[in-house]
Amino acid sequence: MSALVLTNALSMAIPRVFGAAVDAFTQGADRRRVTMFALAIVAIAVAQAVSRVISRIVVLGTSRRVEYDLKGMLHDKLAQLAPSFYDAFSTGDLMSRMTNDVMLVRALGGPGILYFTNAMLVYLLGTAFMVSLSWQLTIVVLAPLPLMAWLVRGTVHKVRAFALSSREALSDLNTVVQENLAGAGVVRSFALEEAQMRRFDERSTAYLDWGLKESRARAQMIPMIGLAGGLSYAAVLALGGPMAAAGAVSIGDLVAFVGYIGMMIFPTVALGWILSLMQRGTAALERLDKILQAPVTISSGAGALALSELRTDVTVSDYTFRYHDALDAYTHLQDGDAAHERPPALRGVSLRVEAGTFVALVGRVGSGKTTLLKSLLRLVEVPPGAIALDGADINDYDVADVRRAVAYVPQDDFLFSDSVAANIRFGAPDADDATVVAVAELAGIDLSSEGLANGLETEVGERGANLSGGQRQRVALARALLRDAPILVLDNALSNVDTDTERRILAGLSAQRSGRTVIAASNRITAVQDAECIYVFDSGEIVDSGRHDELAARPGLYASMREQQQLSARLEELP
Amino acid sequence: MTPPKRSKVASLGVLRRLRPFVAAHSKLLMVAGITLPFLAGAQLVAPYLLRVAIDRHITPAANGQAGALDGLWTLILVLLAVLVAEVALRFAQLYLMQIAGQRIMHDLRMAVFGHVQKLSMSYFDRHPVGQVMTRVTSDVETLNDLMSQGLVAMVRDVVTLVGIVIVMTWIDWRLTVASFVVFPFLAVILGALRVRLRRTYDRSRTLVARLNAFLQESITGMGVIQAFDEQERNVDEFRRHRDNLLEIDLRGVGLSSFLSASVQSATTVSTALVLAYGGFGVIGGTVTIGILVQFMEYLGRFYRPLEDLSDKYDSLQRAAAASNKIFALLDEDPAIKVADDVRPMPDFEDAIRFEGVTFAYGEGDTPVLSKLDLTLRRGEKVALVGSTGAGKSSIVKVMQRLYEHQEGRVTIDGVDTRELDPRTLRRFFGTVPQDVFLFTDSIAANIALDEDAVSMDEVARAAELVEASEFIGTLPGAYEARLGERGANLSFGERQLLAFARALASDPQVLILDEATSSVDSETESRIQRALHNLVADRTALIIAHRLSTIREVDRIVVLHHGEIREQGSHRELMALGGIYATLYRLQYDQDTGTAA
Ligand SMILES: Nc1ncnc2c1ncn2[C@@H]1O[C@H](COP(=O)(O)OP(=O)(O)OP(=O)(O)O)[C@@H](O)[C@H]1O
Ligand SMILES: Nc1ncnc2c1ncn2[C@@H]1O[C@H](COP(=O)(O)OP(=O)(O)OP(=O)(O)O)[C@@H](O)[C@H]1O
Ligand SMILES: [Mg+2]
Ligand SMILES: [Mg+2]
Repeated sequence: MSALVLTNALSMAIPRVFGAAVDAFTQGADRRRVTMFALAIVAIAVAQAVSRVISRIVVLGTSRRVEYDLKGMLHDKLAQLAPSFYDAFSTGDLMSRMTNDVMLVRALGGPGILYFTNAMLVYLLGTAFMVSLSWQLTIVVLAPLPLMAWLVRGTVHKVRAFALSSREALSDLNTVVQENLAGAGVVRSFALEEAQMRRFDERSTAYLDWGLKESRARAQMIPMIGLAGGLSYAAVLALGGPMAAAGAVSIGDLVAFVGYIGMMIFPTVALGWILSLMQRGTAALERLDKILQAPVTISSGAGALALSELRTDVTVSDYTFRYHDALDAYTHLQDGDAAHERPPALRGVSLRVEAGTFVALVGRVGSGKTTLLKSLLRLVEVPPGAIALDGADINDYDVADVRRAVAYVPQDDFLFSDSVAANIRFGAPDADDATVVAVAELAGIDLSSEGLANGLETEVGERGANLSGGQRQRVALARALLRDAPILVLDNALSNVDTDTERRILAGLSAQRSGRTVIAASNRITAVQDAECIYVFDSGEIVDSGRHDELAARPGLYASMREQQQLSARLEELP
Repeated sequence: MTPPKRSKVASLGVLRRLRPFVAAHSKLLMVAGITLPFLAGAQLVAPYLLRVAIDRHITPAANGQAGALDGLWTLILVLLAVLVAEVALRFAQLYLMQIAGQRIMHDLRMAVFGHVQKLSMSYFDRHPVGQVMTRVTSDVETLNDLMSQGLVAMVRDVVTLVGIVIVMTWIDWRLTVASFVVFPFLAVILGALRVRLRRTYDRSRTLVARLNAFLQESITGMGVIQAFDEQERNVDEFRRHRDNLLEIDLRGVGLSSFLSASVQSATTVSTALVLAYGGFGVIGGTVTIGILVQFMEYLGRFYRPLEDLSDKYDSLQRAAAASNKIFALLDEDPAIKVADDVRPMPDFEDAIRFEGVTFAYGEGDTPVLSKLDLTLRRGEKVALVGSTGAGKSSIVKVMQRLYEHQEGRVTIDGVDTRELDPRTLRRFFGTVPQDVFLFTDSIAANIALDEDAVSMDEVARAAELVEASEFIGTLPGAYEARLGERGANLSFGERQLLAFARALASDPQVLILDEATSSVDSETESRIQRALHNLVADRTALIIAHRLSTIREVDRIVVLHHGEIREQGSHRELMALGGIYATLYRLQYDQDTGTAA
């Protein structure tokens, strides 16, 4: 900051020196004095250069740091926010906030502050220098400033409102792009390119329109400020001329004044630009603040119990869950309409899983199996009293402990764009190679070149797009197995794996289970028939439970599902 | 940095490629251009008026000459008029330039996005979404600065500069020389900084794209990250990416600060030179005070835009780096080419044939399909079975020409699919892909996809057929209910049913089901099969499934193993053969009854 003051003080001294020189000339100075004046200015130039480099590096560098700190803060927050937050905000929107909006905040923090301080210093120092020459002229020079402020006032608000709308339009645009890229396969396979172009065009045009509105408002502002500067010039001549004639000021003083106005015009024009930067910057900040203000709905309670050495008995009692309850927490952050009421995903579900047992969930589409499994990891907001681990409420434990106790194979086999090995190591980065290979084999991953081109080093691509469906699922399974947690949760984990491989995996798993609890949801009877207890779900409720033979013996959903999978009769009828 | 890297770094020449985009708005730019000479003129006239005021009026008046101030008032009025005109022009120019600039941006965005639509799937296998997204939005935004402010301002500045130099020379060429002695030094400094700046910005754009790709992946994978309690590692990694970028950006700040300071010092030194030389002139009587003031004003006006230009130069380099990335994307060759003379789509009277097709995803990779022959006759229902990674989904992708195969031909009624328009070809199939993708849009839009071609009735009928209408009914707004990203607010089975309905809604000739019901319970599945029975009776279908109950009504079963067809025939024939299929079958069947017994 002091470098900034110095730079400006030095620049502001120049008209003064120049004015003094002019006065000296009119009084008939010799060449030596002229040279002295010139050298004084050169000295100023050198000092100026140094202080300017420093001040810029400090201010602009700080703005970069601020930008990256802000990004870090936002990312930290994103890492804490519950999955329900991501239901409420789309990836494209969040990306837009994290990139474009942060960029605007940086512009506010860097150039914005730099030019603003500059302008203020120029005014301050300029005024001081000018007053020392002539206070009357100073008043005249500064008189147009309030006029300018008054002229600009209304425009500033407009710029801000338009800036906000334009930011939102950009977010929408980003969302379209993000979806188009993420769904590139569907877009091509259904030949939707043109429809997508239209959609993009629509959003891009909307963004353009808001941008133009904003520009018009900004364009109005800048000349108005310029006008104020021009008035100062005229005023100095109008008043200064007679004053010089009367001998109240010297010509050199007048020259210095002209110099000062010249110096002040640019910062004044820049002020207009700064104002618009500020408007955009604060609009962007407002949007970032939405992320920072979002409530963290899943966190470890104070005095959280540590979950060590647990037996991991799981008791679910009268558990009712609605997704939109969690979404309500974010509605005040969004302009869109609130989440709508839907029937609960789980309705009065009660079950008990003893440590070391194998429990299976089967049921119709959308009957709540995944919701229940996600609840065991607190990936959804579990109401108090619904789920107990070893007799204590799941919400009373440290979240990290709970998640470490449960190894999870989600139904959505999300992989990171990295190698197969890195993906398997995801939950246990320190595992040695032998363990990784052992786990990969247990998960039925074919490490031969016929299976995976480069074995464990094969790059899986974004979301694992370069693997086959079944390969992806098995990597996700291996990833969970490497966690070696007391509870293993499988959500339709082998739905894309052929039956031969499935059988081998299941056999391997049960041989290695050694006291581990397994909770698995599946649509395949072959995968659940060995379970100690099978719970049958329908519309968020448990409609039946028991062992395979019990359930198969009585009419109901399970029996009919099983019958459908009994191939014999029908396949034999084929030609 | 190593020399070969240099060629990759953007030179300002890349900006030339923006020309067609700029040319499209040349009218607007021309109108804006008309204001330029006037603006520059206004800039030149004001100091002149000052000089006249000082030399003709104020100095004589100060020396006691009576009536010297008489003309001053007119002069001031003229000055005010000039200034007001300048303000008006500036507004017009700024606004016009903004319009032109933002339209150009819009066009550029459309061009980039349009080109991305032409790129084939293999491009997306290699380029993460976050990176491509950075090109379409962020990089284009970076050009915005240059387009809507820089470009015009730069032209204006250059016009002003030239005007000033001419006027100054006209008044006193020696004084002009004195003013510009420092200029060559400045040019040297600028030249030295140029390459560094460019390299820094180029690197910065690359790192930005990388950071964004990482961020995009963290956001989409946050569920998994949290399930494995790996937030900390994710945060650390994000910070690492960010710190790399910060380092480069700080270097950029250093360089541009140096640039700006050089220009400022040049102004000041020039002022000193003018003062010294002008001072000698005043003493010698060849220069008046008014001229001195006028020169000082010109110098201010000369170096101010120059200083501005140093910022502009900065944004120019930044823009060059961004356009380099953008044009690299625009230059990306669509791997799937449309033939020059596309043949009309055959009526599909006979069959789709794979004739000795060999296919690998990447060049030099081991082929996923090797010398594959496969026939899908009209009206036939064929099942593809085989272990995971056998190449079943790959067959589907090659058939739709989502990827280009290396050897052999894929034909429809004898016409090579490469001679057809890929989009017509793809519309010919209705596919339920193994990876379901839904758009953040209404249920109806997700099923219809093209809402002009598919009516609401057809949407409802398709949903009915796949047993989706029941759960759709429970949603607020039913068919108008909005889905979350990728259908996040639905269960997996529900998402799959919508993808199934989507494939049926377009009423395709050939239905491709790639594990279309893997997340659906078998009760629902069998009801769908029954509902579909009549519908697909005269359709052609290719069905991929691991759960053999899914394929119980097909005409023929093809067993694929490591990219080759091993067995082919009806269930009975394959059972009699006692090969791979028979083993798979027994596993499912025997295991089930075995325990039940
Ligand atoms: N985009 C891709 N890039 C590179 N390799 C790929 C890509 N997609 C698939 N592969 C590889 O090609 C092989 C065949 O994959 P494909 O998806 O065709 O198998 P699949 O028979 O459908 O298996 P599944 O039953 O598991 O779905 C696999 O080894 C897979 O790793
Ligand atoms: N994020 C969400 N927001 C709102 N509703 C949801 C969300 N996820 C699931 N649902 C709804 O909750 C209900 C239960 O879904 P869940 O995913 O638990 O079913 P499921 O039994 O796992 O089904 P499937 O066998 O199809 O995977 C469904 O009706 C579904 O639409
Ligand atoms: Mg589920
Ligand atoms: Mg597949």
